[in-house]
Amino acid sequence: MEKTKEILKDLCSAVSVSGHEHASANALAEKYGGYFDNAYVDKFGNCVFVKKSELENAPRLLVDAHFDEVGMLVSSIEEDGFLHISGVGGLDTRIFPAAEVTVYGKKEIYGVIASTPPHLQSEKSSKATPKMDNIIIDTGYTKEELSALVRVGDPVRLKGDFKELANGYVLSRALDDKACVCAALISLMNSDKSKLAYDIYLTVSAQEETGRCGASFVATDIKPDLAVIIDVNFARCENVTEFESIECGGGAGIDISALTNRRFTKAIMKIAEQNGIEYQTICEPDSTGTNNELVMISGTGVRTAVMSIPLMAMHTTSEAVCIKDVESLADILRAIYVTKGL
Amino acid sequence: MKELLKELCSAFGPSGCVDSVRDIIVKNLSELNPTTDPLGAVTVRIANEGAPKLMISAHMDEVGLMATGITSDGCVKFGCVGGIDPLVLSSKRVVSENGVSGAILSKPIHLQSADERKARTEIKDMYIFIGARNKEEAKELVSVGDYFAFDSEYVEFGNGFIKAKALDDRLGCAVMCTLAKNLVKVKDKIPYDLYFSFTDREELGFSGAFAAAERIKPDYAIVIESTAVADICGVAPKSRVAALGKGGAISFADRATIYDRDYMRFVTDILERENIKYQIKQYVSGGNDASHIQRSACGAKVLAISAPSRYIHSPSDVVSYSDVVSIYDAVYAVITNKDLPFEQAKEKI
Amino acid sequence: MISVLKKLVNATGISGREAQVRDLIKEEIAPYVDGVETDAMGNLIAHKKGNGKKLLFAAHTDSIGFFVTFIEKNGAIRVSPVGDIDFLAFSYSEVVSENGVKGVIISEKDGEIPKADSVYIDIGAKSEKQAKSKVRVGDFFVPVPKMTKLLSNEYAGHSFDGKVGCAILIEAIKQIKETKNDLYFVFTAQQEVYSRGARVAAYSVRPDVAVAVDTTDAKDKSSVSDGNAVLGEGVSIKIKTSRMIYSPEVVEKLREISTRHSIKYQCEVANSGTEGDAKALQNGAMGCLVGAISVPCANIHTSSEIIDMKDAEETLKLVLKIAEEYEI
Repeated sequence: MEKTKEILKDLCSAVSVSGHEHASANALAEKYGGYFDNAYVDKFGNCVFVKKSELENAPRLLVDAHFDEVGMLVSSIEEDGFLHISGVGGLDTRIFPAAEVTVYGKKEIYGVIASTPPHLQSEKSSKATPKMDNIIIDTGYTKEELSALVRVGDPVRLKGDFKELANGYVLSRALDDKACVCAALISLMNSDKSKLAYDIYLTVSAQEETGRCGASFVATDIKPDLAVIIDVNFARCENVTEFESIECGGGAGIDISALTNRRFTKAIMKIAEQNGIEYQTICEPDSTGTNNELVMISGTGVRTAVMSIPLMAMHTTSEAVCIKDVESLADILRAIYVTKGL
Repeated sequence: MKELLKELCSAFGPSGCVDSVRDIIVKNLSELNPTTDPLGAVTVRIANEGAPKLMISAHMDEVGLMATGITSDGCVKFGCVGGIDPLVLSSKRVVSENGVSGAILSKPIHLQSADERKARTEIKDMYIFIGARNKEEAKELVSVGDYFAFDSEYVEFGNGFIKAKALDDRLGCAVMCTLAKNLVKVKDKIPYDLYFSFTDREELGFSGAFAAAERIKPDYAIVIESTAVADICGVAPKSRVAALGKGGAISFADRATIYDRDYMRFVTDILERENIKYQIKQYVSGGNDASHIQRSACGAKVLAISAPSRYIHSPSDVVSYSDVVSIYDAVYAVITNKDLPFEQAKEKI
Repeated sequence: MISVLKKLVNATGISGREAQVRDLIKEEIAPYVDGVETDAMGNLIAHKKGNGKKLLFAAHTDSIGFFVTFIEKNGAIRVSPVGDIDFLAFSYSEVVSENGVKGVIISEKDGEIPKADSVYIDIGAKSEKQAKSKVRVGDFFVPVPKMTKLLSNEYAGHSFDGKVGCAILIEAIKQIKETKNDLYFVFTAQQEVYSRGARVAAYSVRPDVAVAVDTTDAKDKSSVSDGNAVLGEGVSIKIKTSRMIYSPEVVEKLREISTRHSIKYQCEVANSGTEGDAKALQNGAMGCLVGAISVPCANIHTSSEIIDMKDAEETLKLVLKIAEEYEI
């Protein structure tokens, strides 16, 4: 549990706004590469860890979790040291007023997102969710000072530091999808190669939040026989029905969809049951909203399954997961790795 | 072909769950060595090494529903698999992959408020009733993730009309099976390396046709489909699209594909010469697997020929059988025509 | 470049029916390239051999227009739009068919915002028979081609979107002397309908880096304006549009090259806007690096688009320097 939290905290601190994952992907490959046969970062920013089976002609299994997070880019530098930004990925703009940000220019710059003072609020505007075009960031610098430190296009992230809560819950920004990257890493890094039934390619992919293309390209390159895509899913809470969510603390989610391979999915459920690992199911008939669809139709077609970790408050600075669920997902993955004939 | 069409329409096959349909096709074409790919597509090849590749394509899947949850009252909440207009669902009969019958219900109008009655009922306010009174009883019959299809009988009516579920695109499959079996008898007359591809998940937009085309890498492709028309009472002539009974409808463009004009002309010239009935769609609407095949690999010249269909994506899809026959005749004529389509020349300086 | 652009503007073509524009381009570039071919989608792919990795430039040959879908009994011609068309912007415009038949687009319902099913083209036919003698279902109509010089190097015209990029690439092909890379110039088909051509072209070429050259939405002189780029501020290097992040590595190199050669440029980070051919090129090449450089253009997809020819010239300069110096 402690080691899992440590790795998760480390992952959450890495700067990986969609499209700008390279530097962090390289650092990731360096830090964890020693546990695998091979680790590399492709030109697209996908980080791939490879651990091969000792069996001859072992089938290829791809496990994908995306590394990128939603964020922003600087779109213009205004008078009095304010910045306009443009959103990358689907941001929840309700969280913006009075939030803190970090601008990654020549150095890290602290900023605050302006909120509308009461005397300037109209009846209409106070009831509407903030629009991206109206967001301004206050850095406290002058325009000249700022222009020397920051350029149009520099990435910006909201501050949402990693924090431990009671009962094994953690809060952070970017648990989508770093909680799954964590599960994938811990499932494989210490695995005994002699037991593996597959050559395993763990893809920590880029740009899921902006078009899901990173995983598509890396899957086309690797040409796996099977793929398991892991991403976060909605956790049960107020106003979210039981039919569109899974419970935090209830174990990993296994997705049922017309867009995954049914036989493979059922086999995974059986594996979890046989190994006494708790899991939940969630049904998403015609859209998983993950890298699954593009991996499925990549190349000449791939048999896929989707698994998930329940996550609260998706795309905010206070996303929450239960560490127990991260470890349950890792347990199921470990059991899949040693099961032949899937 | 009609018997096969009836058998295919009656089979259970929403996107992602087409085993029953596949079994019929594989059995029907067993002598032609059908192969299956990772996404469940079936391919039959009438080989002619070195000749230009022609891919004939239809999809096995139909629109359907999937159980997303079971309420404490024993009702089954569902989501759609493929595009279904909520307006066609009220009170329709459905059947699950395990043969459990049910009906799609929602709050009776007597109990609705005046405002509720004005708006259409959304899927989230509907449920499938299977005769269970509580969650435990329901769970014995249905599990989350079970598929449901329309429970709709195949009926011949009027002047050669057919009503059934899944005419989109089992009629394409029926035409293709019949073509394959008849063409193999005259394979020496065929100037193409011919592939018949039956795919899954066309109704979901992540069609198996893309992966199939990537594997086959066709030069040409003909997609046999259904197309929604409105040749019914009260619709202005400009909005009717095409008419039942006037032959297969060929599109110059739809929402997903702009068809190559030279290839279209090549095909329509053959049909004119052979006196085979066809029509040109008089609207830009719909989309099909031609889009995926056209843009796969290095590109292919594609054509779509579709049976005009009323009430598409409902339990009561209606076509004219004569159009299905016209389509068979048309594709047969194109395949056996000894002249190849105009080839774009590669110029080197 | 102005005369090439004028020739292109006068050639009529819409998505899927680009033959006239394509033939014109082929004629212009054939003596200057090592190979040119047309693929199944109608993309024109030209190759200028070089050592080194594959660098691809793309501009699109198609423009927006209308397909004829139905001919009424009274000779009115019903149409379906090709590409993103604002019918208000074309109300009462003069149009011409691929066969030179002249007409006018009329809105049926006065006072309401026109949509595809409430407009028709009037070619002066008094009956269905007369109309059918000149026009068939499946023919296309475009706004009458025009290009007008305004003050300060600005030009107004129709179908600059796409054709400006083609003119720039044609000139680049003629002017390139030496290159670090193996160069491909692709004149793509069907960009206006979700970039259907680009993917296929990139699949066959498999470039290492692709750069799309097109127009981008610019601010006009009204106080409320969409668009991020500014006319006269030079070539626009795209960093982000609503759904596309251009490869940061490519963006960085484009900025460097522009600074080194004093090419006037601006950067675009936008909440809205489409990704043009860039994303399709990237997908088709199975994940190459991709960038986009654009000529700012106001009033895109109306009958009077406006560009500043100086911006086009800066864009051409950048294309030439990229070809000569970009290290992959």
